[in-house]
Amino acid sequence: MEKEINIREFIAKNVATLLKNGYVVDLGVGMPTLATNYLPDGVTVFIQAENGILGCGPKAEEDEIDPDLIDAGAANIVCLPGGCTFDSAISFGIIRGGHLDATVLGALQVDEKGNLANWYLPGKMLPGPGGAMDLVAGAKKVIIAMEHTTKHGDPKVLKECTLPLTSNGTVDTIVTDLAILERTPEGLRIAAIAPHTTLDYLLQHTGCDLIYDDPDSIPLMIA
Amino acid sequence: MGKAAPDKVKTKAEALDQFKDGSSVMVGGFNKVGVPGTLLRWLSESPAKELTLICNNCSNAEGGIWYPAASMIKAGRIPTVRISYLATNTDLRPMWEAGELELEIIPQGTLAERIRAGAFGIGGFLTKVGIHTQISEGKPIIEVDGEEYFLEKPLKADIALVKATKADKMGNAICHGTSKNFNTIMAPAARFTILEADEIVEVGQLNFDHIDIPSIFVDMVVQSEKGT
Repeated sequence: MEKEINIREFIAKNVATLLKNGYVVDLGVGMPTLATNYLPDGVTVFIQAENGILGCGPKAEEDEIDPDLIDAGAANIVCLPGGCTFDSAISFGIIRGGHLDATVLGALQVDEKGNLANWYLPGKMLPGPGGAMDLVAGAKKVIIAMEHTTKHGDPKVLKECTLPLTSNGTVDTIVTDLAILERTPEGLRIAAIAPHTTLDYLLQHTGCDLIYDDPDSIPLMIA
Repeated sequence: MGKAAPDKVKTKAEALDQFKDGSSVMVGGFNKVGVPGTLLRWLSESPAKELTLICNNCSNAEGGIWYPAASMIKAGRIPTVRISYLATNTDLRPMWEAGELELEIIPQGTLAERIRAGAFGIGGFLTKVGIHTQISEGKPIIEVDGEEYFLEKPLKADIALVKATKADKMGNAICHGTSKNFNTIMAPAARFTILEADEIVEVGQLNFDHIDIPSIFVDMVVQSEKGT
């Protein structure tokens, strides 16, 4: 991995290519939210935040901060014209009820069956599910945005998750600094590969088999 | 309702009388918004112990709005916590893993819907959220029209502490912006609900079309103190 590439921006840019015009989406904190900065011209998405708002606007300027108006990452935001606020029961009715086109979340592990683990790393970290379990169960399309390996270089895309699961078989697409992987009934297929890596490197740093056709004609992710 | 309208506005001492050992306590709020910070401080000043806390999150950041509750957990006065988002409280994982704290970890929408069920006489609900994970362990799986769901039971509490932006003296309340969160559903889910408001007005001064919490769910109204 070439160090000069900003991994977070690279992943966010490629997540943005998966968001279609008019989508209503709920985005996790960090890279998923960053994706909205890279939407192509002509693509508008509506952002729902699980704390009870549809129509999240940009961060509030100093003089327009409303302390009772935040997104799920606790950033002070503005509510766009046409936006609305509601309580947690309605918010999760939107989520659980299949009204979201897509959600983008981070992960500790994902496996080839589309299982996701992101709420508990025993002995180290307990973020809890928050809204993640509801989002991955309810959204029409589940996109995971994460680095391909842990900071120790271990694969995060596995044959089978070893950490406590967040969901069973609900992940559709995984976007990492090395590839875009799509879940198929046969396993994970390489939809695109990063221009700064090689197929060998990708396969070596992935904990399960990946499906691809002609190694020389795999589409490239956008740089 | 005019002259017959009850005045539910009470003092700190009257609120403190409601905090009893062994109570289950729901507390509204998401992150720092819609949190009844004054009531949390009063709760921590009371001698109440052996409490169960039901909330979305409970940051242990010193000086933060949740800190009074977080310090009660740390001091062992809240031995049971039912919660969804734990990342902002670094005490919970070590205490839980050491067996010093009973922790029920609940997906956020399931927490909301279990409270809603408890509030409105519904005997639980069927969901797919967390099915075949640790969350669904020991809970009955039920098939409906060929789809698998599992049963989540209702949640109720002895006391609910909720926050509103504006309330009238009989407890009708408006929760501005994203402060509705768990407040509107917790208010009807407890045996006794105390509502903390930034501003309290006379009965009749709120627009009846825009009430988030109907007064029937509120037993006591207190004035939010500055700085919380």
